[in-house]
Amino acid sequence: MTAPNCSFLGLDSLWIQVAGFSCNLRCAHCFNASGPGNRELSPLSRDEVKSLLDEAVAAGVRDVVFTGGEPFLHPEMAEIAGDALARFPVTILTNGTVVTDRLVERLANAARDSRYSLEIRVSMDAPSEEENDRIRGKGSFEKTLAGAARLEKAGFLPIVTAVQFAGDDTPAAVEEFERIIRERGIRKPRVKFLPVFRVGREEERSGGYGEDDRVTAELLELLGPEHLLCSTARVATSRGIWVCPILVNVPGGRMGDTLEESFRPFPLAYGACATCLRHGAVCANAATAVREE
Amino acid sequence: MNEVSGRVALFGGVYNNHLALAALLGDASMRAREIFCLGDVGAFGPHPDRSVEILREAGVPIVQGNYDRSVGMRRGDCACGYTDPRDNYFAALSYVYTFRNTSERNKDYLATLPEEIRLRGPKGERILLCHGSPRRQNEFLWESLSPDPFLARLLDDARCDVLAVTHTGIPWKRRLPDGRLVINVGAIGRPANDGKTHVWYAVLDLSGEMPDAAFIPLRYDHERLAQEMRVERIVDPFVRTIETGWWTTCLEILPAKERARGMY
Repeated sequence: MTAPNCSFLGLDSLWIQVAGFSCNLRCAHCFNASGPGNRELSPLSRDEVKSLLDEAVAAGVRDVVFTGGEPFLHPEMAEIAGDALARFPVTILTNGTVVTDRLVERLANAARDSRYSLEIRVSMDAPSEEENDRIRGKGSFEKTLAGAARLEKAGFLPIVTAVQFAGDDTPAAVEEFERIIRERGIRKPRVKFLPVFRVGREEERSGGYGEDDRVTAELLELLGPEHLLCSTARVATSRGIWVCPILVNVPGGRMGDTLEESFRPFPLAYGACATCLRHGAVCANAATAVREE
Repeated sequence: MNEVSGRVALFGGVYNNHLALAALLGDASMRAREIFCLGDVGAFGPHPDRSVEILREAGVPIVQGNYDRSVGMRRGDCACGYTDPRDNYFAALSYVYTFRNTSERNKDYLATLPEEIRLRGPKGERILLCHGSPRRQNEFLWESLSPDPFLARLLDDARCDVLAVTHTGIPWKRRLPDGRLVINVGAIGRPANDGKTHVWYAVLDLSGEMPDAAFIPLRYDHERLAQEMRVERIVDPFVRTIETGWWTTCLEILPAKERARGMY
């Protein structure tokens, strides 16, 4: 069976794998197997990011998303965020465990000086310490909530991002998270659920996708390419441009050396593509997600 | 194509607020020669047919919003573009009320509305009126999520010099470095999440060297609207927004800057 192509509709979101795969945590389900000592991708320098931002201006990008690994392990992350915020709305995806007061202050200054929003997405995986730490590592629950509280104190509204192991994103499931976030003094709790992607370290844990877990031409036709991040986003890394954050470093996910080269349709040949299409608006913040009716 | 000049009033997001709509027609007729509605006649407020009929009677040209399309096409939801379950929960409440209380005749009318209106200014300016964005009826153009290069791309693709939208409910405008203008006219159906009970619309001024827009605060009998909503058993969070000026629902769609300014 030939995989159906996802059209490229224009670059709305530029993702930047600023910290490579380097992370202080080693989460059991990490879709790109980030962790301490993972050097398959290198961090990007501030100058490298600046030239990507120039390309983003030319492409008419709507927002820039920094991911890793853990972006805040990058020693210049606050300055890089400031460079990006001068021209674009910015989102940073963090595990929240290395968010110091000094870092938060620098970020808050950058956010205040910009007319655009700085979103900080903080990853957690369960509203209880025991369940969360089983997946993300001992002590991460407390450290992450303390990081989120520090961000809130400086005026940020962190979005707690949780992988949906229970398979439930009803208002009741959201309330569980809201309750524990509120307990830390966060007055406007924001929660986003992500589906489980059975790739990376999660593939080892749950056995990965079956051969039938694929996007069919019929389903793509029905839901439309707008449901897929790859219709409007690309990921820049130390090893070129990749189609989406989930498929970075997966053979076949690399789209070229430059952004311009990557602006072409992508064959949806992976199990992860089926998860993305079924779930819709997977990697976007609520505010940037666009769902076709 | 319609030629326009002088001042043009632009409003959107009526959300069944027939009292604000009646106030708007009076206020705008003193400030502008022509009036255009950018869509979403239905939503949180009471008695949807009243707003549709006021607009039809006044002969106001209307751009179709996602709500108008959904009601007109007899769809099961408002297609507002929310992605959060909490937002969708409240969106469904107001949609079901609006759908049930809109006459078949008015549904048919909403289905016929155009998705965009193009106007020509006195210096040949190409003016585009649409609901969400030129590329999608339910795309949210928030001020803090609309960088200049992105807006320039939207205007290039849509071949226009002035773009006016609504859909988000909070007014803002941006002059691009090359002089082109983007206006989000806000909404007259509910306050702009600023703790004030008045609502907003825009007046596009084509008489100067370059097109410009001013935002006009519009007062109306919001206490009477709240009373009507209670009688119709519309849920309390929607009524409180009308009474206090703070949004209480559909907040997850807001970007950080806009969310931080509100109470909730």
